[in-house]
Amino acid sequence: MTFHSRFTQQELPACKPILTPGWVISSFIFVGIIFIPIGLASLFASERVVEIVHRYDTDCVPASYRNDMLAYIQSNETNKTCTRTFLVPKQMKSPVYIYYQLDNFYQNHRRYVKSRSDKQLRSRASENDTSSCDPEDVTSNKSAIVPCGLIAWSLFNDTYGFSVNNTLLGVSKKNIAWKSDQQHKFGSDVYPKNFQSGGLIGGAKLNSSIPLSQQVDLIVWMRTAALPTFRKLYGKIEVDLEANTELTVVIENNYNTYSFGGKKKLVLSTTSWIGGKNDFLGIAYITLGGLSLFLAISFLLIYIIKPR
Amino acid sequence: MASNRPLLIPSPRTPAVEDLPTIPIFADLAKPNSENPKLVMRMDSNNPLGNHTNTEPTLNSSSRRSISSVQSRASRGNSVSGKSVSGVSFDLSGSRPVRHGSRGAESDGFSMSQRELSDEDARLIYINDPEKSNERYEFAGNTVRTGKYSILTFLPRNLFEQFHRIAYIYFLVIAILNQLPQLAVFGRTASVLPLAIVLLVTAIKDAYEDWRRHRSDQIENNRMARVLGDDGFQEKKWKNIRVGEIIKISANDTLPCDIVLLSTSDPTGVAYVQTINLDGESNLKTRYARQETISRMSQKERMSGLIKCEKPSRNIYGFQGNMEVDGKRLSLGPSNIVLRGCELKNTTWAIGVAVYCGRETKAMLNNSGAPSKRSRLETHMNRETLFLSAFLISLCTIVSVLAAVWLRRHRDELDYLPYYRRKSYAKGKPENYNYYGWGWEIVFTFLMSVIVFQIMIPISLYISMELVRVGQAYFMIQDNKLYDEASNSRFQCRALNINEDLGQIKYVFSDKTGTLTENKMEFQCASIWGVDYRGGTTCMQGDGYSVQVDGQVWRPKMKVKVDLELERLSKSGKQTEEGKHIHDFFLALAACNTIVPIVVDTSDPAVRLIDYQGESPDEQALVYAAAAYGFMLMERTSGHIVIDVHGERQRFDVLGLHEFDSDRKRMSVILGCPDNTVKVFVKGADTSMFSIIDKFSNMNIIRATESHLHNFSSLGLRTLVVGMRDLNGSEFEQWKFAFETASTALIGRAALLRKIASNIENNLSILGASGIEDKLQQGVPEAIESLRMAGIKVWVLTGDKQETAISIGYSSKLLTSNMTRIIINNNSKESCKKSLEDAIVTSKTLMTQSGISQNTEGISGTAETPVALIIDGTSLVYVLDGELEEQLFQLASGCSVVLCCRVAPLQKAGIVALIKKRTDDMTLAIGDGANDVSMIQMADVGIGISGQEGRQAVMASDFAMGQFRFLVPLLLVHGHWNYQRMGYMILYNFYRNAVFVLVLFWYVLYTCFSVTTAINEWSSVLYSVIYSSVPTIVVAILDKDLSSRTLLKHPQLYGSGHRQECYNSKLFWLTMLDTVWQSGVIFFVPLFAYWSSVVDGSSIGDLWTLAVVILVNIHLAMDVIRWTWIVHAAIWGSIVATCICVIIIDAIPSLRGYWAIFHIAKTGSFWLCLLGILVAAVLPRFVVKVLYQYFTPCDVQIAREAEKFGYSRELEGMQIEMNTILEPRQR
Repeated sequence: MTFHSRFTQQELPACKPILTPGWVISSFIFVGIIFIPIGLASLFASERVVEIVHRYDTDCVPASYRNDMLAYIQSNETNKTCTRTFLVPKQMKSPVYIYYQLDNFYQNHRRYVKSRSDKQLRSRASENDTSSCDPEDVTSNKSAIVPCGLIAWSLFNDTYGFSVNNTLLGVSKKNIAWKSDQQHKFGSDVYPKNFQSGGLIGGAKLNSSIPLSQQVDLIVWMRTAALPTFRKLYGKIEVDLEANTELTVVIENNYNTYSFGGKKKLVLSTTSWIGGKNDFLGIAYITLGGLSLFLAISFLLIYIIKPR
Repeated sequence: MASNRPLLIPSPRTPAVEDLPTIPIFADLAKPNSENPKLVMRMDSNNPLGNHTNTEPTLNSSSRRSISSVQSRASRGNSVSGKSVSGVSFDLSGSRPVRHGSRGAESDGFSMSQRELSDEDARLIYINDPEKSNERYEFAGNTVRTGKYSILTFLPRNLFEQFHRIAYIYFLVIAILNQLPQLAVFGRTASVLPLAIVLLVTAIKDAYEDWRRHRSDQIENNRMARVLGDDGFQEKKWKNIRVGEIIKISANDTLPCDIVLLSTSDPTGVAYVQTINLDGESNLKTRYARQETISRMSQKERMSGLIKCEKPSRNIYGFQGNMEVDGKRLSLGPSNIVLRGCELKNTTWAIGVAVYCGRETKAMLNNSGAPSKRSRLETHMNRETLFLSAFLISLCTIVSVLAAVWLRRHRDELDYLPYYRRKSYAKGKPENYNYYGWGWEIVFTFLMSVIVFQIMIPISLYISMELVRVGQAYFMIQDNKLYDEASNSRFQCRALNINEDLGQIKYVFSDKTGTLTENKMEFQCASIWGVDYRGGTTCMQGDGYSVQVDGQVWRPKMKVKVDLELERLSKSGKQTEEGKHIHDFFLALAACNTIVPIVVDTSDPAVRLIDYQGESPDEQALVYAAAAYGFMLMERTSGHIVIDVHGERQRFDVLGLHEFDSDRKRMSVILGCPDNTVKVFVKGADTSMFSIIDKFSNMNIIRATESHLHNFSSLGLRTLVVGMRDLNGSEFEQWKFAFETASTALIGRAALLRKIASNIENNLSILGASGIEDKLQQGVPEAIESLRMAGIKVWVLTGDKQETAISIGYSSKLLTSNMTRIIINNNSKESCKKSLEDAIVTSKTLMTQSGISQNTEGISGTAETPVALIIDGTSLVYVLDGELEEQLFQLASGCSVVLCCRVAPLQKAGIVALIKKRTDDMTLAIGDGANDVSMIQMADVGIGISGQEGRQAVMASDFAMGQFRFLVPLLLVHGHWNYQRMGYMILYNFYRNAVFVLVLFWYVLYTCFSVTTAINEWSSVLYSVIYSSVPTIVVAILDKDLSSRTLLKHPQLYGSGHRQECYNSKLFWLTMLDTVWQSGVIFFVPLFAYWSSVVDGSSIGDLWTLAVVILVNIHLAMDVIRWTWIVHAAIWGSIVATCICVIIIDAIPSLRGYWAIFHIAKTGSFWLCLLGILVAAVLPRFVVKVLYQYFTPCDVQIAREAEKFGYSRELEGMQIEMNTILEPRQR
């Protein structure tokens, strides 16, 4: 039979799998055998990640301002510097990643996400392309803000300085932003202009002599987070931190999350092949694998006890 | 009227009108009136030409006009016209004398009014004067334009037509909503793209089809024809032909427009045409030119005249008009017109005048599309679509309510919230931007959610379904099992949207003749003058009967078995009484028909064959039989026939011919015999014949014939009764006068003719009866057996006699010897009611008995006593009146077989409607003739057999095929597959879109209900168009749950369609439950894995996109039954294509998610999430499926396993199958 006639008569050679007991049981066993080791491996990897999470939004407000934290953060007079110390529980191999974590900050809100101009960020020629940047598009004298939009305006501006035994630890900002963003999304000829000059200051100011492609904190911030609780890479410490080292952090607590009850956390973490410390995947895999094995056994029993 | 006319006048088909006055209708009205007032009154009433010629009060005139309009309407709906005509005639009788008196004075006014009336009801054509013909009314030119569009109109018109679909309107509204700045969820391009793709693809398809039509139009329009000009016939392009022009056609030419014949190469004005392009019939049909015009054309002078005919109509078998030439009025009928598309055959040339051109030709008017029906599955689907709409609305409501609550709770923070910032300070003083107040924000949120969740309503499903049906139709057409070698005809899908209904048929209504049988008639035996010539020795003569013509031997093309005794008697001549009757009998067979003998050359120059061409196979068989017994029809023209009676050539003048119609059920011919007598020969169905036979003269013979008829029909033969009568002079004159007037009537002519025919067809003396065998088609008994096993009830509806029907029933295994027969023949409503009630009781007792016997015998009991109901047309008249329908339905639904005999076409439709009204079961009607059209259109699925009786059934049908037995593979194999595939596809598409929407929905809950999508807008838009559409279409076209061999071997498997196993509410809700779970897994696994991590929206969006697409494809893969390489390519290819698309989208720097996929794919958790999602999502479905298949396997499942592992488990499987089949019956 030619292909054509086989095709028209719907008689093409075909494989017809059927769910036989053998197939069912072996596929469950297979899933079990694959999933449990993967789960164990990722749990193990997650275990090995050393993570220090330190919430400082309340602690860094002087006791006298605790009742009106908003006033404290909005005031220009108050001293925003705050020093915290903590112990390193386990040895942290370099690089140690420094993150800031914000809770209850909806970087994925529709109004927020849309308020940016990718064209403007990319090239100087479209500097005035600010139509999508409401409400931070132009200054009151109608000149364009670069970078425009809510996202850039709300740039995170807490800073951290680390020291061990009164020795300052260098914080490297190298490679904290995506290379692809630096090369293609943020222009090397675009310089900040009129930024944070309006009546309402949202966050960090930018050095107007550095092109956007080098403003790594801005680039990191502008990769808007998917979820309302998120971390952003602040920098890296490129030395190992031994266990029980006392780490001193000097925090410039500038960023206003108090107006909407957001939390701020400082996170120091090493990394592993599954990313940061997260037991969820490991547990999920072990559960799934266990369930599969259980199902395999149940079906085996069903087939033995109640054969068709 | 001229009473001194010689008897041998030309045929009424070409009445000699020389001696008639110019306005013959009312001439000498008084005389016939006194003889037969009834007849004339009828004519009056039917000749509305007279209605305005009066000096009567206006009141009377207007009342008459209204009556005449009633008549014209009535005559269009021709089944009732007979009654209404006679009724009206009495009403008008009183006014007649007045008109009679006024006639002479008003003759001018009469012709005026004649024209006036024509304005309303007819078109006027001045022969050979196109200018004049066209000056008052712009008749259509002969340009045909089958193309729908021109270059200018294409865009608006095509778009207009496309937007007829409600789905597209929905698409459009959503796209327009999205253009509002407040609602702009997607970018402008992205939101319009899917609609644009669909519109574009359809438009390209339409444009291509239209271009092809334009091209063929152009070829057609530029063909050449010869048209009479100032100096003879000149070549002219088809498109320039106008109404009124005279056209000359040569042999084998195609007609450029509808013409009325004026003259042909045949001196008697006969032309033979083949109408294969028009109705598919390949036999030659005869058309006639009127005698008067023939002489005019030969006079070489300029022809002129006026044709008045009806407005263009679609009826290719009807035409009415008259022609005034030299002040004489001639009637024109269907036999005088040749239609566009016909081919002239066996005639050197023909000349005619164009009456309908271009789009007004009957061929073009019939050029309409297939009937449109909506499938059961689609109706159910619409119900679920409503559920989904409700679901969509509730999702949107949830989002907007939550958004409202959120806005209210944060109303004090909104101004400064960094991610909301209600106030803008750019313009000096703070003002709100993009904020229209709490209420409006909620409305906008709602509308935005509708835009984002739009694909919850599976728009693409409608397009997919169309594609799938085209694919399924392709395979049905290509299937060799549905290919009829004998007629070289493939299966035809005329309706494209009810493929899946073929899998749920519960009732099959079948015609008998031509459907169960071949409709190839063979003369078997005859009863003449009360003697049954059967049982004698029959033999096939060596070469059959033949005659010598000009030294050549002419013989009939088909040989017939002859009874030697009868042959001997027929040869003996008219001397004996017996011989005389035999002579008349065969003369009747040879003459009383519309058969045309066509002489064909053979390879042997000394031998020529006579091929009897005609529209009725019965007539052909009878003429061949007459020829075999020495009465050979040699020649037929419009005026006479030549019959060779045992070597002696005799010429008979055909004075009149009343064609067969289904009301009279007989036809008659009036012959002027060589011995100067006038005889009327009538043949017809026995019921209609016995009522017009003179009962008093030959009682014995009638009784004998009746008993012979009974014998014949119990052998399964079709019977016809033949009778004749001598006409005396006055009878003939009276008839002739009436016939001629009726023939020229413009309105209600058919009814008039029928009445005149009934008047002449009475007091006949019986000649005898014939028995014709109609062989069963190949494979019919097996097919019926299979259908019955599949749980389909087969009803046979036939016009044949009860005995014939029953015997065919037995030979086709429709009836079996173990069946109890219930026969209902009644002549009154009361008796009908009583017998129905008795029958119900009887059948109930039989059913319960069988139920008990089944229980005692256990599962394997097939000992049910099936009941067969046989009911005749007369009883059905009472039943279908209304009140008894319920009883009949009760009775019939309990019977496994129902045979309806002697039913009229409308009754057939009535029976189908009776079942359709009372059950949800699907009905299928199958038939081959014009009498089945109403039934075919009434049933859910109509199937036409492209057989001997023309193509009307096929034209009305949804599917057409060559043989009855193809019904089995069509229903059991293709129907089953189509149903299973379509059912699965609909469910899958609901699932596929819902799972995506739910993922979007879950995310919205984590974005302050601001309807943000993590999934890239392009991916959202492409999801249902590109990412996941191809595999489902491919699977729905190619997947087979069982091989055709298994399906044919176990017809019980068809029951899965009856039980709606593949698509029902339970499955829908289960699927939706599964959808919620799967979407939950897709969304929440990454959510937990990436909670408080650095992941950005675009990256996790890519993860969700890939997870959804891979999951829905894996889900599909889990349900695919037959993995051919095409399915592999579609499913895996679709996944690969999605990955490529995602990568391409992420490689565009201007988009937000630039390079995101590469970043996230570098992390281990991405891959762990993906794998975990897939396994966790399909796990419940897999477990349920395994459990379901293990504990409560369906028939299909069992058969599939049996198919795979040989037939070792077959017995076990079959038992379960039988159970499920029997189960519903016991209830």
